[in-house]
Amino acid sequence: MEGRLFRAFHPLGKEVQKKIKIFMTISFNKNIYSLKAIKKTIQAYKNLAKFKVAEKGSYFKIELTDIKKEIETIIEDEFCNYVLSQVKE
Amino acid sequence: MDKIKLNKKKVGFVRYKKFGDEYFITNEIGRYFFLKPNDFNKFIEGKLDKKDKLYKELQKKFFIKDDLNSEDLIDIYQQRNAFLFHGTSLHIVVATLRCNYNCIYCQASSRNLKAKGFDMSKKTAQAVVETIFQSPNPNITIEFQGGEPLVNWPTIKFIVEAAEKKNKKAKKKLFISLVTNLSLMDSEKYDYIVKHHISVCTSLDGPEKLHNLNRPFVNGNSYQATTSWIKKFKEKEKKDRSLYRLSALVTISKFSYKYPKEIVDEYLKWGFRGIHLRPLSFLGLSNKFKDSIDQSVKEFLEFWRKSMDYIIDINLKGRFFWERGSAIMLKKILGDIDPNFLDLRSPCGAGIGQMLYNYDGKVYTCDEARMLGEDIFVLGNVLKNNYKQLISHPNLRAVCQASILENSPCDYCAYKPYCGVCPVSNYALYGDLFAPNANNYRCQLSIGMLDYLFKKLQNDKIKTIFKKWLGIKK
Repeated sequence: MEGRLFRAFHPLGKEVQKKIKIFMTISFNKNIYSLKAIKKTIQAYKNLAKFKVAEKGSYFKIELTDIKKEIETIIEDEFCNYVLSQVKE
Repeated sequence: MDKIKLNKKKVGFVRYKKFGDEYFITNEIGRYFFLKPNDFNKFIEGKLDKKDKLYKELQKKFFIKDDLNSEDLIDIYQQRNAFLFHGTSLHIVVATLRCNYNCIYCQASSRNLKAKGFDMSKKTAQAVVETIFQSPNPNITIEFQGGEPLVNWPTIKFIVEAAEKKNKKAKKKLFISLVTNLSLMDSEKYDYIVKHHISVCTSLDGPEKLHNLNRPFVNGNSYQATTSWIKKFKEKEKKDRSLYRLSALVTISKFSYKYPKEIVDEYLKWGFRGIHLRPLSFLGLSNKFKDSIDQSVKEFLEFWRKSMDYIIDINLKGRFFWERGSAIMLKKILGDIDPNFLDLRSPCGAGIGQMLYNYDGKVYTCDEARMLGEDIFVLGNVLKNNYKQLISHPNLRAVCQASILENSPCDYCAYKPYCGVCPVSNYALYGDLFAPNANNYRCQLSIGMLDYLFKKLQNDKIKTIFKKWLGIKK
């Protein structure tokens, strides 16, 4: 998984919380994970972040931006587990 | 079975199978019992008399719900699954893919000695050590494999010393082992191994003719190259009991089936205290021996049973000699502490129990996975990723999920407490991590071995021998 976190702090104190931007990429191997399972998960998580799906070689690369602050530390694990549960189903 | 009804109020958790004329029952903590059909019916229907000896024995083994000692049951369950709470302990390092042997069953995609670009660099080796020590497990084993690891001796020394340095602060229980064919061993390397408390494991496939057939050596006789050093190691061990004992692994190929006694005799001859009779994995070059899986299972089990009968006979005559694969299963059958054998766990040890660091820094879920070389078992690269990123990789989540027995038909098998599945093997043989585990190659092997062991456990003399193997006195 390519977990990259970028925090952009606004120089003017008040707006700092709103301007926090988190960027994360998760890679799912096409031989294990279906695009359908990923899309279903994105649908379930659509209110928690913005998602962009790309393909690179044998991987689906899911880019997450504008992640809700209260879930920023857990979304990666939860999202991955949800996709896996969709694969199993 | 259709006519009897399970009394859920009185009967504890149970799995069962027909075993000869009797019923064999097990529960989640590995306790087992043989019941005559009549008693089995009474037990299932909750009709056993509380004063009856049988009732008390079953109750003691947590098969009866009445007055169940839940605290003890939970403790034992926790002990048997303790491996879930510690993180990766076994770290296999492939210092080089180059090798001076051409083993017919090579599973490691080895390259010849002249090949370029297959040695681990110091930069990668340093990153491997950093990653290893990020594991939360207080027990760390670093195991060098190859190719032939001694081909890249400078990197081995570099990792050993970097790990020792790192461990001065980390204070983990560090264990280092080296898997080598011994052909490139010399006294300087031997002294280094002793000084740094490195345990050594070699390969010995049996008598000279068989060993040389399985393990051709470009520069001559592989049997002589290996056994000349086995002899030296064993002589040193006799003089200094504090040294780690040299161990050896045998790989059973098709050519081995004719020699069940001779292979055991070879191990006795060199002073080994046991042997691990392992079937081929059908990964790498060994895949070409897969004429038909069912035939392979049949042939291997026939060979294994003959060898086991011979080993038991040796023990009955008073000499201690064990079969390691059986001992691992027996530990799960007769003990409460899981031996943490990574192939016989739920989930298996891939990633969460072991990681393999390839020469180029790529990290695989396990040794078997790099043999397959498939991208779906790659967790990242030590030059780019840290331990947390490796351990939480979606590929590893899937492999873990695929080896949880409770998620598969194995959950209905009476042997479930003693067994495990291998997603890598599933992928290699059936093209799917989630292949049906029931009745596949490994399943047939495990059932064959467990059937044999449980049959032998009904003989008190043999049961005593098995307990001796495990160090159980009573």
